[in-house]
Amino acid sequence: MTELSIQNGDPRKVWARLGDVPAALYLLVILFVGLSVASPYFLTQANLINIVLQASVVLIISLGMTLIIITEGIDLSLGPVLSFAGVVFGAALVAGWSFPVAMIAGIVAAMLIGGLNGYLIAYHDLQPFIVTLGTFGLAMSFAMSISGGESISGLPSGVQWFNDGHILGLPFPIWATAALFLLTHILLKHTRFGRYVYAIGGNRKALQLAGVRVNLWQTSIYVYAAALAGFASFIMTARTNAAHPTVGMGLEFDAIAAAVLGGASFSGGKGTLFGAAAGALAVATLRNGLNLMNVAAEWQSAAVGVVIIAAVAGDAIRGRT
Amino acid sequence: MTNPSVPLIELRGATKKYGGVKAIDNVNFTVYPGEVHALCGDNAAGKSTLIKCLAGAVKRDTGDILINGKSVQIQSPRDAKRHGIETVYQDLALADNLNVAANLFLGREVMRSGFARIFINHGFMEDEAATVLKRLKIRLPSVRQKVHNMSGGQRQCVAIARAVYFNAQLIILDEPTAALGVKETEMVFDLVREMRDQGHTVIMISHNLNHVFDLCDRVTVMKTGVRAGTLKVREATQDDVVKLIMAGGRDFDQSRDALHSAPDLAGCA
Ligand SMILES: Nc1ncnc2c1ncn2[C@@H]1O[C@H](COP(=O)(O)OP(=O)(O)OP(=O)(O)O)[C@@H](O)[C@H]1O
Ligand SMILES: [Mg+2]
Repeated sequence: MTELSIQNGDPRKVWARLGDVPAALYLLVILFVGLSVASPYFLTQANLINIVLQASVVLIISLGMTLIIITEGIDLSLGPVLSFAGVVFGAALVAGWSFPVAMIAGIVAAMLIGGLNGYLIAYHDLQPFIVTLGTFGLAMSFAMSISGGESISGLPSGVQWFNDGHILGLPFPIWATAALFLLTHILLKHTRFGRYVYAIGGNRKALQLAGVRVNLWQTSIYVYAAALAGFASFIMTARTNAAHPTVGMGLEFDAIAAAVLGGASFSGGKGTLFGAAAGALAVATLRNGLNLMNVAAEWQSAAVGVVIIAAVAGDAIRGRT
Repeated sequence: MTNPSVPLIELRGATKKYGGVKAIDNVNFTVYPGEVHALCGDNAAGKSTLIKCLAGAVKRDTGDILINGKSVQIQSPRDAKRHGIETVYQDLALADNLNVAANLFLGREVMRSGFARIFINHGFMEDEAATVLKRLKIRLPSVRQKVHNMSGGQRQCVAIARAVYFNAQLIILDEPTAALGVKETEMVFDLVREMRDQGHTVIMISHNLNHVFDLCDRVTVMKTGVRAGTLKVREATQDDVVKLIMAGGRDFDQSRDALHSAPDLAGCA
C-alpha cells in the first residue's frame, strides 16, 4: 500500500502519510537537535547510554501495553505487576532459591495477574479499564504483603553483576531490552499471536466467526504483557540492587504514554512496537534534557504530560481514519 | 461424489428465539448440491438467523442439520467450517486493519514448515490469495492492501473469495450486494455466476428479485420467522415470489417432487 499512496501525488495523501509517522519520532528528532545544541554533554556516549538505560524498563512494559492497546484494551496493572514480580524474585533469592528458579517465580507471579486480567476481560467481557484497575490494587497488595512493605535487599551478587555487565560497550539491561523488543516484534509480525492481536483490534467478531478461539488468544495477550513486566522487574531490581514493593508506581502511565506517542490508538487496531520504543525513548530523552537544563524534578512530569496531550491533539487534528 | 438427489444440506425444524421473539420458528430448509438457492423475505423475516444456524454463528434452540443425509453437530463457526460451510455475513466480518491476504486466511493462517512452523508463511498466503482472486476474476491493486482502504464491492469480493478459497461444500452469502452501487453489484454478481459455473453450491440472501431470477435455481421465501415456501425459479414468476413475501404461504417445498427428476438442478452442477 505504500507504493499506492506515494504514486498518488494528492497532497492530502502525503499529509496522511506523514501522519503515519508517530509523534514519538518527531519528538525524538526535535529533542535531539535541540538538546545537542543546548548542551555539549547531551550527545556524549555516556549520556546516550544513560537515556536508553532509563528508557529500558518503560520500553519493555510499553511493548506489552502496545499489544493490549491494539486490541482496544488497556492494562493499568502493569506497574504494580512489575513491583509484585520484583518482590517475588527478591524474596525467592533471599530465601535461597537459585537465580533461574527465582526468576521463573517472579515471571509466573506476573503471569498469574495477567491471566486474571485476560480471563475477566476476554471470557467475561468486562471492561479492561475496570478489571485492570482492580488487579492494580491486587498486585500492589501482594507486593506489599510479601515484602512487609519494606525493600528487600541483601540480594546475591549476581543481581549487581547483571546490572553492571557490558557486552560491546553496552550494558546487559540494554541488550535484554533489545532482545525482548526483537522477540515481541517477531511475535507480532510473524506468528498467529500477532496476527490475532491486530485482528482482535480490527474486528473481534470476525475473528470469532472465522473459528478462532478468540478468548484464549486475547487472554494470552494480557499474560504476555504481564510476563514482559516481570522481565522488566529484573532490570529494575538489578538497577537498585533491591526489590521495592512500590518501584513500579506510575510505570503503566509512562508505558501508555510511550505507546500513544508511538501511534497506538485507543480505538484499537493500530499501533507499532517501533513507535512504542521511540515513545519510550522520547519520554526518557525529554526527562534527560530537562535534567540537563536543570529543570526541577517536580516539573518534569508536567512536561511529559503536556507533550502527551500535544501528541494526541496533533493526532486528532491530522484526522484519524 | 455427491448425489444430486440427496440434499447437500438440510435443516429440520429449526427454531431460534431472542427473548420472546421467535426469529425463526420450526423452519425446514433444503439445499441440493450444485444449486444456487435464494433466500428472500421482508426485513426481520429471519433470513439471517436461518443462515446463521447453518454457519454455527447462533445456537439454535431446536432443529437438526443433515449434510449429505447424515446428521451433523453444528454448534459453532468452527463446526460449520469443518463441515465445509463458508459464510459471508451481512456485515462482511473482515478485519479492516489487515490486508487482503491476511483476511483471506484469517483463522487459517498457513505456517512455515519444520522448525519454523510457528511462523506465518506470508509469501505463500499472498501468492495463494492472488491466485484465487485471479481465478474468480477479481481485480484488486494488491493483496497487500489493507481492506480498510477498499470500496464496498472490493471488500465484498474479498469476503467471498475467502469463502471460495477453502473449497467449501456450501457458500452462504447474506445480502452480498446490499450496500453496493450498480457497478459494484454487477461485479459481485459476476462473481456469484462464476462460482455457480464452477459448480459451487450457494445460498444467497437477496431482496432483488431480478437478480434472484437471473442467477438462482430455487428460492425460499421467509415470512415472520416461518418458511412461506420454496419454489423452482424456472417454474415460478416474480409475482409468485412477491405474493409469498407479502402474504406468506403454507410452508411448501417444490423440491420434494424434484427429488427424483431434478432436471434444472442437474443442469447447473
Ligand atoms: N442478536 C439478536 N438479538 C435480538 N433479536 C434479534 C437478534 N438477531 C435477530 N433478531 C431478531 O430476529 C428477527 C429476525 O432477524 P433476522 O436478522 O434474521 O432478519 P432478516 O430476515 O435477516 O432481516 P434483514 O433483511 O433486515 O437482514 C428480527 O425480529 C430481529 O429483530
Ligand atoms: Mg439479515
